[in-house]
Amino acid sequence: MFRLDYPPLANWAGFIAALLYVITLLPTILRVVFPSTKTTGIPKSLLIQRRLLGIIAFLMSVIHGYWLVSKRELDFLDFQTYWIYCQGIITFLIFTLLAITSNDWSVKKLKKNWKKLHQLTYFAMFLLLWHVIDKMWGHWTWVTPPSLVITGAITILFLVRMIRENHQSDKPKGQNPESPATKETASKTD
Amino acid sequence: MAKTTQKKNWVLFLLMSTAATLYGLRAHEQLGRTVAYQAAPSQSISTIHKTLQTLKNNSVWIYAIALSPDGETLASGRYDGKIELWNLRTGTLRQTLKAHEDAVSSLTISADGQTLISGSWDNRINLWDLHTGNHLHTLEDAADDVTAIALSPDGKSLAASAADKTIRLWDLKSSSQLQVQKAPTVVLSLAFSPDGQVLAGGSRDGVVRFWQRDSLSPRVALEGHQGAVQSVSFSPDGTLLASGSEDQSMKVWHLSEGKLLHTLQGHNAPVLSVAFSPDGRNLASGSYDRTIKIWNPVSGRPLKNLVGHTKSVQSIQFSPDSQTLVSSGSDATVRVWPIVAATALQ
Repeated sequence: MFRLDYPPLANWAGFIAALLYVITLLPTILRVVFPSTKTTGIPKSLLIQRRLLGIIAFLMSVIHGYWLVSKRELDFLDFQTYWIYCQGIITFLIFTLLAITSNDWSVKKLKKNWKKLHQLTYFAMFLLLWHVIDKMWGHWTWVTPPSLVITGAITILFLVRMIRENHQSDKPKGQNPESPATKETASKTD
Repeated sequence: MAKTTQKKNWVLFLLMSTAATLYGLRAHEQLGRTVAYQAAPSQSISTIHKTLQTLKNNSVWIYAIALSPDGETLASGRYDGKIELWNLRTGTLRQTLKAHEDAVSSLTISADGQTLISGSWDNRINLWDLHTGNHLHTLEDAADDVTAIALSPDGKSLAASAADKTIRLWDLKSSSQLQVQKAPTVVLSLAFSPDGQVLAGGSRDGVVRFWQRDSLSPRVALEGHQGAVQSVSFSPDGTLLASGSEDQSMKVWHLSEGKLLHTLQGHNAPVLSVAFSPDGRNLASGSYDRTIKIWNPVSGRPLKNLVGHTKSVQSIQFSPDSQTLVSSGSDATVRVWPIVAATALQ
């Protein structure tokens, strides 16, 4: 019998972290995949709060990890722990890197490398989807379906964005006057 | 100037990282090191290195084991949610059940040897036909990771604890939930008294708590451990209770007098599992230090040191005839040990 359980607090924290993280990914993706949203100002307003949302997402992932580790008494001196929780641990490490460099000082210091570093966020996006599917499939709580939907949807949208950008870059210059502008905007905000 | 400071910071960071890594590795080595019990000169304990059988089918942690009353079938619960059924007589794997979506945290077999019950971190408790491996029923009312289960000696009631700090009691015949009791903290281990009237639970806060079976109303609590109580076991006559804790000790409590009889120290890492032998003559403890120790429960004297697991010992259980001990651990093995020699030493 299929039923949804009430999620433990650790799962709530994980869900909120995933939700906020997905929101941080939205501005650029929306602009490319749904260009009409530019006129509504939604991507811009999301962009303004992106750094703050990212930091809160990181803090929620800390809480999620801490509660889960303490509840399950995970042994971090055993290699299997890292193997079993590889997606979660790698995602968390990426989140940590992104969080500690989410400040003006880091942007100035790291220069071009800052952008490269923060592109790890898309790698984390795939890991997060894998993490949710691997750990939550069969654990059907109230937050499982929305977690799967938001992480799945953002990954699909990202792939669509990649296809569109590749398609636009293949076209000879001048045929698509919007293309350079779009690319420029995307690179500024990534 | 700024570059020099930056370099200094990097060097400092690298030094600190190296120190932390070395400290971690050393702590790991110490935890895993097999250290012989430092017995008094008058005491001598021997070490058993050879097992009767070592069963291994994969590389996944084995958290729980349960032995059938006839001692022939062994169920082992894996971290990946699978349960393996072994024929102990031949040492062969009989069946693998895809039982749960997450780790199997606890297993028990009914006294008539017909039903296997498994509790899991997927919040579910499943009932299985031990002979065919068929799934019989699922008790889905647990709201969080199931940490422990215990079957009453008459086989009618099942108690389960979960990570949401609850204790639940089911009537197995009707599969209906009878009681839910909130505990002060997460209960990590459960055991019914031999008369089936009292349920004991080892808690994360180091307290051993007792509940009345039918109402789950709290009774006395035994305090003394300095760390989470990972395992509890009643002596067959119900007079003693052993508790193993993360404080690296095992305590033996005299229940009618409500006092501490012994604090058994010999492990150099958390004690994860304890078990009385069915004849009441031996008490065993399995630890994160990779060893199993056999004790005289009355005198508190150590008798044997069983060495062979290469990682923590998660679960132990005596055979019905008390002649062998079965253990499982994070090294993904199930080991069968001869205990008859330990009994002879008494």
